[in-house]
Amino acid sequence: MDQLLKSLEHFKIIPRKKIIKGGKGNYRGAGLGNSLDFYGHKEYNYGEDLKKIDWKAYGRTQKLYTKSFEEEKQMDVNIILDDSLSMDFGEPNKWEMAKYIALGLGYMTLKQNDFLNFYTINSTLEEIMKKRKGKEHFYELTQKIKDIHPKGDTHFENILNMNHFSSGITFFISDFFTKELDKIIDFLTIQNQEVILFHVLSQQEINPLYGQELKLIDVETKESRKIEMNHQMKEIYKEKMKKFIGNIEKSCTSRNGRYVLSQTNDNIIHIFQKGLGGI
Amino acid sequence: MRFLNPLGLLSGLSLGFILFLYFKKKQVIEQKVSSLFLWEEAIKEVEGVKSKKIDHWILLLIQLLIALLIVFCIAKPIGYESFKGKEITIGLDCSYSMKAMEKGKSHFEEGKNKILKILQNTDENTKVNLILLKEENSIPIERGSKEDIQNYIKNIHCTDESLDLTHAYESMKNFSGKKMIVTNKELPIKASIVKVGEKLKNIGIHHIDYDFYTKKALVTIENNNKEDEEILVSMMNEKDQKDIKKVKINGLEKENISFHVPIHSKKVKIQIENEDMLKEDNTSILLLEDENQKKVFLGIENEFLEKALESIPYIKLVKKEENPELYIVDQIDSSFKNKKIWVIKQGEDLKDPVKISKKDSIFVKDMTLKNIYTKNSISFKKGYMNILTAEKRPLMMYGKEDEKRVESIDFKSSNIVYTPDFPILIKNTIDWFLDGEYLNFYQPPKPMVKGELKDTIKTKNEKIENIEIHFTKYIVFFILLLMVLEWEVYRRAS
Repeated sequence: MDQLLKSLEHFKIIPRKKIIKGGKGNYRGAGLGNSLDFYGHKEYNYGEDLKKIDWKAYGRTQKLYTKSFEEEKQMDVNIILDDSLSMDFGEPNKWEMAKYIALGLGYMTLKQNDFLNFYTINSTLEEIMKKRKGKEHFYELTQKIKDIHPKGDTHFENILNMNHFSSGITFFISDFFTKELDKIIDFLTIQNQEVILFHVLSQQEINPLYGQELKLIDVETKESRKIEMNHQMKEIYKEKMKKFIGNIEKSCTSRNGRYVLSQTNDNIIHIFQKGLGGI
Repeated sequence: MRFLNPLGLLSGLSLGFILFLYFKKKQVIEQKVSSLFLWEEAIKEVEGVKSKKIDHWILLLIQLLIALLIVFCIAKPIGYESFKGKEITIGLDCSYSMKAMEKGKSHFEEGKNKILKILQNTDENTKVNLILLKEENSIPIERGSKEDIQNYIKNIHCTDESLDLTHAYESMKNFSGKKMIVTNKELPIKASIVKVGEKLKNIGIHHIDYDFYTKKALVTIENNNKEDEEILVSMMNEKDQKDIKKVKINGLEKENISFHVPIHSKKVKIQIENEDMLKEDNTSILLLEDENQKKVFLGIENEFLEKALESIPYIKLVKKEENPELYIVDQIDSSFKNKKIWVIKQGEDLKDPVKISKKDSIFVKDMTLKNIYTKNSISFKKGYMNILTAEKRPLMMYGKEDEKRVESIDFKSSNIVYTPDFPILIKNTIDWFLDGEYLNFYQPPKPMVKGELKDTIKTKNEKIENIEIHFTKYIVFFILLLMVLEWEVYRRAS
């Protein structure tokens, strides 16, 4: 854990989009404000603050112009961690990988003094932390994540019921075994969120090695299916998995989001590099 | 159809094991997955190809069939061609090698059983000739019925003789119709061979001899197997003094070894310690005791002759009263009637030494006679054959009156007595007198097969066919075909 946090010292979460909502902060907003970043001139209108008049420009043009500056906003970082039973699977375990990604992102958010909102989702959406700011909340975050254990099944539509997302970045960590992901990404984009998906999958899911006749049991729903696990079945499944990963990546990138395939046997630092690099 | 190795059918129990494995494999194994989300789609796609299920049953069927055929292979099934000709001649090898034991049964007994099986497949009206093949063949049944052979064959036994190929040929060529030989040997004979036993594994004592001068037993061991063998040979005398030697002999080769015989041994037993099928040629006894020696009376004073006679291990010099088998004397009278006599005469003096020459006979076997001269000779006697001559004058001759007789000079006037030819001549002469009786002294083993084959024993326009049909090779071929098929089905099913 310490090694991970040390490695993350060099990473920074920077939004690509302008922040629309939220209080005054350190990131470019969508409107005009009082930052030091010059935006441009406009003709003076009656009633405007006289302090904003550019007198040098008046001297040159004999017309009154006011100087405009960019707005600076506070960024909210939302982390949604899927803690449904399907995440407790694979060797190395998907849940362990997902927890570390969430902790790393939370640590970086708190370190750079942005607001951290932390949610878990399974059959219900649970708000774990709200509007926390500052490194001092990291211990609280670790304790809370430690107490979370995967349970229940996946119902991502609960995200749609939330209507007070502050403008910023939403990190979504899940295996995304759902058909409603498009709706969720659309919803978050409308909420002016920059969406970054961490798609956590184990090797057993990507390339299953089971042989013979099997009774597959869904760990979430307890539903079962009998299959003849032969070469043909294996190949079809792998093809489906490839298509599934491709579809999620396409859904995300087509909405200006970022997609990171996080296999449980991957190096976690590489996963952060892929997720945060260039932001 | 019958099986050469019926116990092999027990391996059929393994079929149950294959089924057990198959159904154990078929048992559904529960496997947890994170989500059935993708599996559902894969299952829908695969369900379109139902034939895979059938392929698995075909695969099981082929595998069971292969296993069943392997069981048959182990059991070695054979069948017999049915025979509908007018006459059939069966030669049964009765030589001692047929005493070889395999799976608790002698080859001879198995051979008899095979003949009975062949007769079962023979037409009722077929006349059957039975020849017992050994050194002197016998034909106990000529143009007999099946029943005659079946009844007769039950009571015959194997002999201690060799198989004489020449005699076998002579006996069988006189008969018409189909001919077959029931034997356990690979015979260089173009006939229908009904093979008994699988492979005769045998190591035997080929020859033994005793070297009187060095007091050594000379043994020739023969490896009749195709493979090289490491053989332990022991020699033990009556006092249980034992010596063991190890010798490595290449396949189908012979090797000589010698044992130093302890002094005063009366007899020694030479034995091959390795286990093989045929025990008959694994032991041989060398008798060294006086009472086994042939008695010879030397009635003249001749130091050279006396020494030469003493060097022959299987004779001993006795007094006239001890009823000797051979008399060596200078004069004969009526008391020598019906006795084997070697008359040694002083001879007539020649002017100069004359070179001795030999007439081909067993008497001069192995002799060189280089620079050998004589100063006297004897007179020729009618009815006798010359052995040694000097300028056409006889020195030694043989013939038969009331018994075997040899007449010769006393050799004192010849330099032959100082050469190695002399004891050889004496030994050859003694051997002729004893007429091979001394062989009992050594009890050497006999060869398994002797004689030469001049021709095949088939008659004109007769096909040489196998009476026995071995199915193993056909089954192996079928197994290979099934394995190819199995691979193809497996490939489709997987």
